[in-house]
Formats: sequence, C-alpha cells, structure tokens
Amino acid sequence: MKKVHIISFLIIAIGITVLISAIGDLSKYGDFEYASVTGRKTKVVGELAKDQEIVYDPMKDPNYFSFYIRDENKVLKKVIRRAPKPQDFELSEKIVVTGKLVGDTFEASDILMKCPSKYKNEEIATKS
Amino acid sequence: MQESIPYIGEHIYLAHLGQYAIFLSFSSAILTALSFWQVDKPSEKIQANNWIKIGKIAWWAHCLSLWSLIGLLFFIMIQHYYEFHYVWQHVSDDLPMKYIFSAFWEGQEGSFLLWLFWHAVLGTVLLYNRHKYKYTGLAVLGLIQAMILSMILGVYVPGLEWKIGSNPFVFIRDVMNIPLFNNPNYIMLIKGNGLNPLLQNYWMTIHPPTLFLGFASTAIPYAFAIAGLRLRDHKGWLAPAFGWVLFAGAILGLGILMGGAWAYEALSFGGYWAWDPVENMSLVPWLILLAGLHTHLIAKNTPYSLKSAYVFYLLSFVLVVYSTFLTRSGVLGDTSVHSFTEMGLEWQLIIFILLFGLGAIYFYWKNKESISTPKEEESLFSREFWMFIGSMVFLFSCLLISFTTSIPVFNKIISGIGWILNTDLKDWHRSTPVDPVAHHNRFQLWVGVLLSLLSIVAMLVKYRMDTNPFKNKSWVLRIVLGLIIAVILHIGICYWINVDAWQHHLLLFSGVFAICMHFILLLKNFQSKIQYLGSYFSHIGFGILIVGVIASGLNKRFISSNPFITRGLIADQTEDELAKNIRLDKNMPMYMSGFLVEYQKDTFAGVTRTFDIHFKKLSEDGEKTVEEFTVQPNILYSKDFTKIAASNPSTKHYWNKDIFTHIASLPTDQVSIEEATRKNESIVYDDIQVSKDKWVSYQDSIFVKLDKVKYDPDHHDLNRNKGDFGISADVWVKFKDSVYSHKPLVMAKEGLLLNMNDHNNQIGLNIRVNEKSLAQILAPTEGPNMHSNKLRPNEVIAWEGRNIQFLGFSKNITNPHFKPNADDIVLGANILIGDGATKDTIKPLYIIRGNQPFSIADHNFKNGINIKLTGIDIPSESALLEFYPIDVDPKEISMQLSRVEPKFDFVVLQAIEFPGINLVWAGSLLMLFGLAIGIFKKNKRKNKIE
Repeated sequence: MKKVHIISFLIIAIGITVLISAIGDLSKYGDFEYASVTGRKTKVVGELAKDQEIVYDPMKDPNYFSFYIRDENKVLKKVIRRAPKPQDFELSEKIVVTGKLVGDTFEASDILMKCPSKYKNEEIATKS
Repeated sequence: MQESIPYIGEHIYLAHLGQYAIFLSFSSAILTALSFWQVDKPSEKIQANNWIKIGKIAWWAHCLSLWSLIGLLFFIMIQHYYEFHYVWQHVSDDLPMKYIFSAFWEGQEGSFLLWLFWHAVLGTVLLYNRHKYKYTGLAVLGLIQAMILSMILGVYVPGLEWKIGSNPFVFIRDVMNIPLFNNPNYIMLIKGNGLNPLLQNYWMTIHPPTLFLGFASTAIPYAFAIAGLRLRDHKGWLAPAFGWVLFAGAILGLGILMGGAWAYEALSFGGYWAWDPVENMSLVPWLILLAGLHTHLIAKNTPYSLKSAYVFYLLSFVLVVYSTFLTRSGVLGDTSVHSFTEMGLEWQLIIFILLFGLGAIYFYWKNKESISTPKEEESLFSREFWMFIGSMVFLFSCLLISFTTSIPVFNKIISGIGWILNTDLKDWHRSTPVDPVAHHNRFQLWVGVLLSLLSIVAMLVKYRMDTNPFKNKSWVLRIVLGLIIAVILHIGICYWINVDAWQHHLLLFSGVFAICMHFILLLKNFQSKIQYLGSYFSHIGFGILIVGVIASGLNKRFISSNPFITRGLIADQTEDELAKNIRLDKNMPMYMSGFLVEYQKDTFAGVTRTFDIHFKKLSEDGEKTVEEFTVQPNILYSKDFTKIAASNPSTKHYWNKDIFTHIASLPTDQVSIEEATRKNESIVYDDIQVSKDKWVSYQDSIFVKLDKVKYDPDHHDLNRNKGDFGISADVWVKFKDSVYSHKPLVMAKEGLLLNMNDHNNQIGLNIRVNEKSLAQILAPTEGPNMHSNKLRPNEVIAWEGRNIQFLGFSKNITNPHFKPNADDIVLGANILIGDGATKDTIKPLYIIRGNQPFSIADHNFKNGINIKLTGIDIPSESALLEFYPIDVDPKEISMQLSRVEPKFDFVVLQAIEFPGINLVWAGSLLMLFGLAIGIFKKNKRKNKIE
C-alpha cells in the first residue's frame, strides 16, 4: 500500500462517514403529519388555499405574513413567516414551505413558490 | 386547418433559412467529427491529408452556418418579427435595444446557441494550434457540437411521438392553437412578451456569455484527454493543453464569480452564495478542473498523477453536461429558484451525458494499461505528494456538493426502479436539506481548512524532493516567521469581526496562515518573472477569500431593526426572528442600529420608482453628525402598473464593509392597482369654486385660495408626451396657522383624462382639479367672445393682434386624442397662428361618423385661442371656423376637495451590513489573476521551442 493510497482511502472513508452523518439533514419530503409527528424542521409541498385569507399588513407589522396551504393529503394548515410577502404570491400554485409546526401553525423559515409558466398557452397579449 | 389560411406578413423564407442553417451546421459538425477522427486512424495514414482537408472544410461550414443562424436569430429579434415564437417570447416593442443580447439568451434555445458559439470560436483557435492532438480533439468537439445542435433541431421522428430538439425559428401559430390564428392578419395584433424585468440589467448581458465561455472551454481539456488516450501519447498533450486549462479555470471562475456578484448586487437575495443547485453545479466542474490542473502540474514535472489528470479533465466536462441536464430538464423543479421550465429535452440530455461519460470511460479503460506509473511512491517531502492529496480534497468537496444537489435525480431514479418493480417507492424519496447553507458550510469548512494548509505544505517543498527540509534552518525560520505573523493578524481580525466557534477560528487561521506563507514565498521568489508567480497569487487570493467569507458571512447583520419598537408585537418571538425588516414612514426619521434613517422622497421615471433613503450616524452625545449618505433602492412596476415586477437593491460601499438595502414591501395600495383604485373610488369629493381674490372656506376650518393656473404641468408620476395637454391648479390651503401649497393637475393623454390629485397628510385632505375645468379653461367651445369665420385656403385674418392663416384641408390625421373608426370621414384644417415672431400650427378636426357630424377643436394656449372646425363650404373650399379666446390667467377654477383619513406612505426596508465583503471580491479576483498570468507563461515557452 502506498501512502497516497492510504490517504486517499482515508479521505473516501471520511467522505462516506460525512455523507452518512448528513442523512439527518435530508428529511423525507414531508406533509403536515410528518412534521407534527417528528416535530422536526420539514419541507412541506402544498397548494395555496385560495379560499382562505392571506394576511400581510405592513402597517401593523412588516415582518408578519400568513396564509393557508393544503398539503398533499389535503390537510389545511396556517403558515406564518416573519418576513414581507413575496411578489406575485397569489399567482403561485404549488408552494414548498420549510419550517416547523408550532402548535397548529407552521412557522416557515423559507418559501419557494412555483408560479405557472409565464408563457402559458392561449395567452397572447394583443395590441389594444 | 390553418394551412389553408393565407397569412399576411409572415417571413416564411427566414424560417426556412434558419432551419436550413441548423441542418447544415448539424450535418457539417458530424462530418467534421467523422473526418478528423479518420486522421489519426493508423489504417488511414496515407489518406490523412485528405481527411484533414475535408475536416477543415466541414468545420468551416459548421462555423459559418452556425454563426449565420445566430445572426439570423438576432436579426428577427431586432426586427420584432413576432410570428416567430422565440421572438414573441423574449422581445417586445418597448424593450430597449441594449437588452437584445439578454433577450437572445434568456431562453433555452438562445443559451444553447451561445454555448455552441463559444465552442466554434475555441475550436477554430484549436484548429490553428500546432500539435498533433488537435485532429482527434476537433473530432470530439464536432460530436459535442452535433449533440448540442440536436437540442435545437426541431425534427419530428416519423412514426414516433417524439420531437428532437426545439427549433428557435418555429412560428408562434405552430406552437399554440388559438382562435387568433383564424385571422390572416394576426401579426398586426400580437405584441411581444418581452424580457423579464428581473433580467433587465447589465449582469444579464455580461454574466451568461462569460459563464458559457467557461463551460465551453472545459470541452478542450476533455478533447485533449481523449486525444492523449487514443494516441497513447500520455505525456505529449500536457504542454499544449496547459494554457487551455488555465484559460478555462480563469474564465469559468470569473463566470461563477459574476453570478455571485449579480445575486449580491442586483437581486434581493441578500448574499452572494446560497448553495442553490444551479450555483453548485457550476462550481463543481470548476473545482474538478482545478483538481485536474494540480495533477496536470504533477504530471508535467514528475512521473506521477497522470491517470488522475485524465480522470479529472474527462470528469469536468461530463459534469458541465450534467449541470446542463439538471438546470434544463426541470428535474430540480422543487429545489431551485433558477430552473428553466421543461422542454421535453430530458432524454436528449441524458443521451448527451451517457455518450460522453461512457465514451470517456471506454477510452480510459482501453488505454490505461499503457499509462506508465512509477514503482516507487512519492516522497513525503515532495510537492507531488501534497498536491495530490490536495486534488483529492477537491474531489472530496465535489462529491459532497454533487451528492446533495443530485437528490432530486436520485428520487427520479428511485421512482424509475419502483416503476420497473411495479411498487411505490415514494417512501425512499428524500428532500434536499431544509437549510442548505448550514448543510454545505458544515462540510466545506473543512475543505477550506485542508486546502489552505495543503497549499502551504505543497509550496514549501519542491518536486521530487527527498531530503528532510527540517534540517534546513532558513526553511524552518520562514515557517516560524509565517506562523508569528499569522497569529498576530488572526488576533487583529478577531478585534474587527466577531468569531465565535473554534471551527471558525480554525478556518480563519488557516486562511490567514496561507496568506502569510504564500506572501513570504512570493517575496523569496520575487526576482522571477511575474508569469511564474501565478500560483502564489492564486493561493494568497484563496486565503483572502476565506477571510472575506468569514467576515461577511458570520458577521452579516440585519441593521433594519429597531427591537424596542417591534418587541412584544408578536408573541413568542425569539431574538433572532426579531424584525429583519423595518417600516419607514415617509419623512419620519427612525432609529435603527445606530443610524437615524429617513425615507425622504420617491421619484418616478417610466416604470421605475426610486426611493431616497437617508442614513445619518450621530455622535455619542447625539449632537454632531458623524456621517451621512443616501441610498436609492428602486422598484420596477410592470408595464401596465398593475403590480411590482422587480425590486432592485442599492448598496453603500465602504472599503471595509457594505450596507445593502432593498425595498421589501410597500403599502398594499401601491403594490396592486386593484387595491389602489378601490381606495380611490371610495372617496367622495365636494365641488368648490376656488378664486384668486379671496379665501374660500371648506368645512369651516379649511381655507383655499388659487395662486395660479398653469398650462404645461409636470408631475413626477407622469411622462408627458407630445400632444398631451393639461392644467395644474396651484393653490394655497390654510388650516389653523399653517399654509400649504398644493399642485393637483388634470391631463389629457392619448384620449384619456388623468386626474392626479394632491394630498395633505397633516390635514387629511385630498384635493384635485374638477375634470370639467380642463375643457372650460383650456378648450372653451361656448361663450360670448366667440368669433366665427369663413376662410378660403391661404386666406389670412387678423384676430386679437395675431395673424391666423387657413392653409388648407388635410386627410392625414394624427391626433393622439382621437381614434378613428374604419368608416369615419375625417377632415382636418391646417391653421397657422403667428404673432410676427413665432408661428404655431394647429389642426381642428371635422368628423362624420354614421351620418352624424361632430368637431374636435384644437387649441394653442400660447396664443390663447381654441379653434373649432364646424363645417366646410364646398363650393368655395372654405373652412367654417369658430375662434374662442382662452383666458390665460383665469381668476377662478372649479376644484374638488375631500377629507380623508391621513394616508401613510411608507416602505418596508431591509438593510444588511456585510463587513469585509470586498475581501471576497478581491480574493476571488486575485485567485483568477494568478490563473490568467500563467497562460502567458505557457505561450512564452512555446515560442522559444518553435
């Protein structure tokens, strides 16, 4: 065995250990049930509940934004985020929220919105 | 169905031309690959010269057709030929020409073309290099070009429901099927989609070409590696490839750095690196290329590491293709903000990866026996040993980054296996880390430590050194000196920034130590030519980058908070979550993190609204101003002002830190037009006649007096175009002991009446001009002073000291306030008004619409006249005109007033302090500078040989 090989194997071994230890970072793609059972920080994929209220009133508090989403099992939960409302939020269909369930509300630290494609078929702006 | 409709104005020949150019470019790329491949076949030795000739012609045919098809796409975009889907998608009439490049590569097809363009340029340079590897290299490049061109081929495979590539010259009516295309003249009706406002900045012009040049240049080391393996000449390619590798490293690094600078400077991400999948997958090929560069150096100077150099270069390009796959296939959907929409190219991209991945494995496996490896191992005191370990650390870093970034791919593969096994394996799916920044930083911190320390050790020893350097006193002294300086610097830095955890201390120290040691070594070797010192510069740059990352990352601080005000508003709020954003009311200074901050004013220019936010730092006793500055973040509204399209930050730069600000939100009625109109419509106004002579009372406590009526008003919310006209009523408003000045206005703009009210926050008063006043004052068409005339063509008449001449009738009508119907009969009278010194033309209109005549008067307020064309006396060809004098200084005007709740204008501001951010830029640039100067070293040496 050469020294170089020993060190390479060592590095690979460390790499594998690190990856295994990182598995903890990689939660399952969650729903609200998973988040409530584990109590861990989770990513929940859901749809914006357009029939529920979306609250952002910077006059009251510029760092409070709340809305409701339904996860893939159609469970409805309130989500709050301590930041301003992102632009075009109402247009989004699918939303991925990252955060924790605190009581019955989901405290999101991050929101990723999937808006319908800008170039939706059958929507051509015509000259007036 | 649509084929039968005779469409008007389509540029069908251009579509055909574009399609031919794509086919020609594609087929000549394949011919290039085939012919240059034959050159190095042992059996074809005699024919080699002929194959070279064919290959050269094919390559030039490929390049010329490629460049002309790029030119053609530019042409149809500049010409706004909206029948082309790509043009319609990315260009609009109001898109400034300076963004035409950005629009070109905004879409997938355009960015593929950009990539192809650089390959063609680099390949042409390679073609004129003088070494034997270029033919196999160009064959590889030709195949790469064919693969990329297949992405824009746009061919349907007969019998299969499968489309190969997406053609940028396809017509919009071939993509969409909507009733609009039943109109043969549909082109006149459509307008372009335009470029996303977020991308309308200079970064979008410079970042993609740099990054794609970087991506393209990784193909050259790949091509050299394949050529070296195939020709079994494992040492010979190292010298000619070296400059290309340095070039690729410098340019790709610059491209990545620009991406970070863009995110930091122009987007409101609040940072330069977020470990986003798209960022990661451009970083990984670069790191692998650097690993290749280091093993390349070993292989050039010693018998070791040749195999690793091959593997790294082959891997680097395959990773570039993999990164293309990740960002363009839509597989990242849920994890990245950047990803493109799906275009059905997934399988083509997978074939691309497999072809070049498996091809690399095949050539490596087939020829690896012929690569000589020395029996004896590297000495512990040799540079090759430590440099090799360093390369392994690069690889290690890339494995970790790629693994996490590829999780969505693993999920897809798991689903695929589940589909084969006919079971649902969704339970095996994993999400990407909930906090990617913490996740990656935790591991990459050690990579940073190891790389800095290994760079020091490797540079302290020499190639093929076998003696223990610790016996050399001056060598040991240098290290001791470096250590001492590093410790002092480290302590100094800890006074400046806050370093908490021991891991961060370790990383900081390794960075500082690297700066010191490489600097000492640089001084020691200073007599060498600068081209030979690149590695010292790069390593010092890396150390500086580490210090910058720690300073700006660990000590990034949200200064837009005022905990005394926000605390207690939200239950259960932790200190950390307290207010990263602050509400600033207009003209109400507020304390935040030692600054007195005031939102002073906002100005409109087009769709851009710029806010002036003034920062003032007071001395300890609060009496003197220590420093003050104004930042100007802005927001872009969408073209129709219905919503906010983008928020652009503004940054105050210091030598040792940045203060970064952006508008996080605005009052709801300024965010959406619906909210604003709802608010405005709910206001009920009272009519009131305001006079110049006396104060008129409103609701007993408010008094109003007219100052002056102005005829050419300006308003910061309006762009006045030619033909627009309006009046503003400058009035005084008295309430209690204060007098305020207000200038509401009403304006006619392209047939629309715009009423811009003015607002008094202190009183809670809305004031506006009665819309009727505009016509009454500016264009009166009744009154006792009317003067009616009958004028023959060219007849002149004197009126109130002015000469008025009727020039004749015209049918060429361009009046912004009148939109003719198809069967209107419209006649305009050209009239010249002069007072001797100046002459003005006006054109009142006479219209017959469905047997009903009516007039549109025209006025000239400089001369105080409004003229109406009431009819035509046909026998004498005379115009029947009515002159109405305009009162240029009216004593009274009808206005409208309303009491409202005080309206708050405010911004929600986010401000972040980044200490030491300049170290990030300086360190990175120094690193790339070190790579770049090496390119010249190679050229010098080559010149000597030839």
